Amino acid sequence: MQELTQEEERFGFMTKQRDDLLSARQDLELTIKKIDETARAMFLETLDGIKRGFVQIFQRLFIGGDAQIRLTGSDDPLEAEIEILATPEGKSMKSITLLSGGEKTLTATALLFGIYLVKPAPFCVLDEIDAPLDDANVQRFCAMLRDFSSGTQFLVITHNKRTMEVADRLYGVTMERAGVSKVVSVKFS
Amino acid sequence: MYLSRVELFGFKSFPQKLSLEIGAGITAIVGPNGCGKTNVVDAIRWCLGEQSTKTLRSEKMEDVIFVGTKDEPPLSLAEVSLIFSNEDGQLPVEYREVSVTRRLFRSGESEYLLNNRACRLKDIVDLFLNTGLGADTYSMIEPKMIEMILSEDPDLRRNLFEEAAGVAKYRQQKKAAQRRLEAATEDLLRLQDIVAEVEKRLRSLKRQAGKARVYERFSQELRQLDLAASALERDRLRAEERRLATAIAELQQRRAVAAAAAERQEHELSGSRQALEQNESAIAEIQGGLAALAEDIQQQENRLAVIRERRTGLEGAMAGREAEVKQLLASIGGLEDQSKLLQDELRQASAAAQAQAEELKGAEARAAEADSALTLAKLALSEARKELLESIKRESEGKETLAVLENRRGSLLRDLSRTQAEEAALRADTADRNGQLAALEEKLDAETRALRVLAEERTRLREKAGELQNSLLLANDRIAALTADLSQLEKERELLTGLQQRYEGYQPGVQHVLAARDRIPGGVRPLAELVRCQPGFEDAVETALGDRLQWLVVRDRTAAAAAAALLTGARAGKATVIPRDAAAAPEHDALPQLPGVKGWAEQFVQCEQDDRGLVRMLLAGTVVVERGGDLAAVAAALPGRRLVGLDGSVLEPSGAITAGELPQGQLGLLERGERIERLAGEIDARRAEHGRQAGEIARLKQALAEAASRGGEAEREHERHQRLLHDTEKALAGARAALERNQASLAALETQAGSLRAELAGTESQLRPVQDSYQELSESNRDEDQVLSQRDGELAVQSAERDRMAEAVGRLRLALSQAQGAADRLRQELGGLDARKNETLERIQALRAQDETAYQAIGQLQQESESLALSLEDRTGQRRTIIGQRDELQRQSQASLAALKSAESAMHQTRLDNEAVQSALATAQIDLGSVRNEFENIAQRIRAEYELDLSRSWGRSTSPPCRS
Repeated sequence: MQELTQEEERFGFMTKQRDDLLSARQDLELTIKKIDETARAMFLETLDGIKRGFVQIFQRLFIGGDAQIRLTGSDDPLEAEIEILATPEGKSMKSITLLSGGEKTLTATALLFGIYLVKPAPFCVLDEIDAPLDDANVQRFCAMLRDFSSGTQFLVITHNKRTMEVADRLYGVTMERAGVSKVVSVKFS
Repeated sequence: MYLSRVELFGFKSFPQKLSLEIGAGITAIVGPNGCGKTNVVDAIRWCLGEQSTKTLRSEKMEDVIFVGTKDEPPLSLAEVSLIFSNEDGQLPVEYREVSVTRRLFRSGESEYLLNNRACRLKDIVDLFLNTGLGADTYSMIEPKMIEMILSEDPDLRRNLFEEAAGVAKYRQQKKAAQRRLEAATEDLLRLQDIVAEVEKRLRSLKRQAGKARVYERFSQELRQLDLAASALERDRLRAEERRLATAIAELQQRRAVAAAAAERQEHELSGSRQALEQNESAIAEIQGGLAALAEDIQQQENRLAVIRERRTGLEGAMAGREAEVKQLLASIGGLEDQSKLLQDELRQASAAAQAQAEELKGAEARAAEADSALTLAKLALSEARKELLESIKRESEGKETLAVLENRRGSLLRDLSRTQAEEAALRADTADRNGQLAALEEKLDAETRALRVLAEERTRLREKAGELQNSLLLANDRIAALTADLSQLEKERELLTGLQQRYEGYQPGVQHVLAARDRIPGGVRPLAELVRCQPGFEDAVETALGDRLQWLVVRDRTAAAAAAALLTGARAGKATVIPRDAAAAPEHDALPQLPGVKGWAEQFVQCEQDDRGLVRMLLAGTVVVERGGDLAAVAAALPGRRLVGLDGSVLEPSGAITAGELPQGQLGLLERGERIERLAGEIDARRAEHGRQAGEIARLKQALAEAASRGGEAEREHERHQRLLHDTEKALAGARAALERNQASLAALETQAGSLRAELAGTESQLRPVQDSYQELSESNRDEDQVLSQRDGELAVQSAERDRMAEAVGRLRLALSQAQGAADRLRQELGGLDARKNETLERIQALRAQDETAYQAIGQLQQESESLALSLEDRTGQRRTIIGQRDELQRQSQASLAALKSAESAMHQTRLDNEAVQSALATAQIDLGSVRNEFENIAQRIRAEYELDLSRSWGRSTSPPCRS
């Protein structure tokens, strides 16, 4: 009899627990849905901004042409793959992986600066980004760097003379003794 | 907010402290490959909290500390500081400059500092939150990131975008929520299992509860019955128990009686036994004593023999020892003599050693004294030298200061003179430039004027060119009109000439003769071709000549006949042929002056002189009058004359009048010839005009070209002058700027010179005391140095003296140790002798002791042998007595044995009885035990089942007490 009372109590307790869990699960599902929605909205908004910036800068760097960012593979933007397509003037639209080395770099740079337009960073390090670019492209790249430099600090590591010309100050790093770097300041302005 | 400075110390390839100003805008780092450019970037990244060693291009975190090279030792810590300017307050702290430092020690300890105060990495991450700055954000772009964007792996690309969108945070939250959801689901499943289980059990328990209630009722009933039955049983068991207890008491009594009897018998028995045993043991003892006595006797006899033997041995040994003692005593005497000699020697040696030791002590004391003196002197000297060194250092410092100051003065003087030279040069330059400026201004004026003139000239030339152009256009128009006219005229002439040559308008007969004109000697020509009339008289002459114009003129009559022959029979029509020589008419008189009368018609006809007669004849009496003139009046005045009007009307003397005109467009023969000639004249005139106009055009063109070239030249000249003007202006502006610069430089130079002079004065005033003190110091140093050298010499002498003393001490020590060695040797020898003597004495003592022992032993042996003999006799007596005793005891033993046997049989009987009682008692006790057990069992069961005490009495009639 006593056992019966105990079990009845236990049953009541368990049932309550189960109900609690059920409502907790519902809450969690709701939360996940909300998170997904917010993330999706933010992602789409940012992607839109990046798209605009990317195309604008791409056309500037390539002097015309067209470029696109496309979501493929899934209807949910949070799960989809991001495909980058580029069409330099007079060529056919193709995936960025099929471009030449310099074009690739230029496209990627356009994308990065496109991101900068949406999410400006106060400080940016460019480590030998300009290496695969030809003179004309370097010149355009530098012009853009100049434009962006009003809002962003750039620390540029380069071997290119044109890029050096655009810099406000220049540091030379040498290694006179093995293993020990020496910095020489070459200030302009 | 911007990064204003990066400071490195000991990071990777930067062992020395390094500060890089970054500042706003673009900062470029250049240099050959592998020089450590990217290390600067790594430093920034590291300081912002980069944890991945792979990103930092090292194997373990400690590798970022400078590892050392063959010239430089490795460092024990690396430190990087980033200094941010926070003027705009973008960082959520109050400082206007924020420094972030990361430090790593080789021991692996690491710390972060925010404005030089220790903090956690999280604080730094929080600080830069939402600024887009951080070790892993997209603010560091390297070729790797380009690769990432271009990567085939879409996740990497996604990361970049999600980072930009700030979605990563949500992704983590979502993951956490999903994990929690999974856990909740799992818990739920488990819980549902448990709930189902509990439910099942609850059902079965409910069923069981019903059964339990029925069971309880029955068990209550059962209990009543059970308790009643138990009470009955209890009463039965209690009676049994009482019965058994009485039986046991009886049996115990019986057993006690039997036991007392048995005990008594036992006691008796044991007394008999004891007596018997005593006898037996006494006998055994006596027997043992007998055996021992026999043995004893034997032993004592043996012992006696041994004692005798030993005594003989001892006496022999004593004799031997006596001889040895004598010999030893003799050797002791020898040893004592030797000892005495050695002791003398030792005393001498000791005395010598003593003396030497004292000497040594003295020498040592002296040496120590000299030593301490020397040390003191050295100390003093080194002190002095140190001071001198200090002083020299000061001197050299002074010298350096002096040199620096002199240098400074020299450089100041140089600077000053250079500055003055520069100033002078600048002044000269300024004057020069002023001159240049004036010249340039003049030049500018001149240029401006020249330019104005040139501009006017240019305008004029342009106007002229315009005019020329106009003229040229007009001339072109004219020439075009002329050309058109000309071609019109030529066409007409061609037509007319064609008509004339084909003799159109002549009668067929005439045409026939003319076609064959070659056959007529002297040729043939129609009259119309031979005459011409004055312009304006064509109609009149044509009318006056009339059909005669168709007449063919030949040379003479023969020719006329030939012509006529041609016609004859030709049926080609008629023609009139007239020989030129046939006609001869007188010249006309002068006509009276009449109004409207022009003159004789012949007068208005032009022809060859040869043909004049013919013409006169043909036109004889024909007068030309004005157009529309009063023919009648003229006719009246000139009777018999034929009157012809200028309009071609004719009044014959007969009064016949011919009037009218040819139809429109038709020309008379004469008119045609005239027309052709006129046309030729016009054409020529037009051609000449055309040529003239062409010449004019060429001229115009040339003029235009000339004007254009001059205009171009003027334009170029103008431009050149403009350029010149511009250059001059520029030069002027340059000169002015240079002048201003010069003035600024001059002012700066003057200030500089002033400050240089002030500094020079300061330097010189500094220089003097320094020089003085330096001189003083250097002299004193020289003196001091001399003194010190002298003291050095003294010290050397002292040192030599001390060395000498030390040497003497050494020598003394050596001698002393030798003397001591000799004394020691002697002492040793003496000791050896003493020892030998002692040994000998000891030996003698020992020998004597042995003798003593031997004497004693002999005495003892004597005594012993005597006592042995006595005891031997005694023992023999004892033996006899004991044998008697033994026999007596043996008899007693036999009697005791018989008594014992009868007692034993009685005892056996008693024991049997006793055993029977015992067994009955045991049975009763077992029964009692089992009854009690049974009772106890029932009681226990009742207690267990109903919690009642059975021992409390209640009968079958009484109801059991209720369970509480």
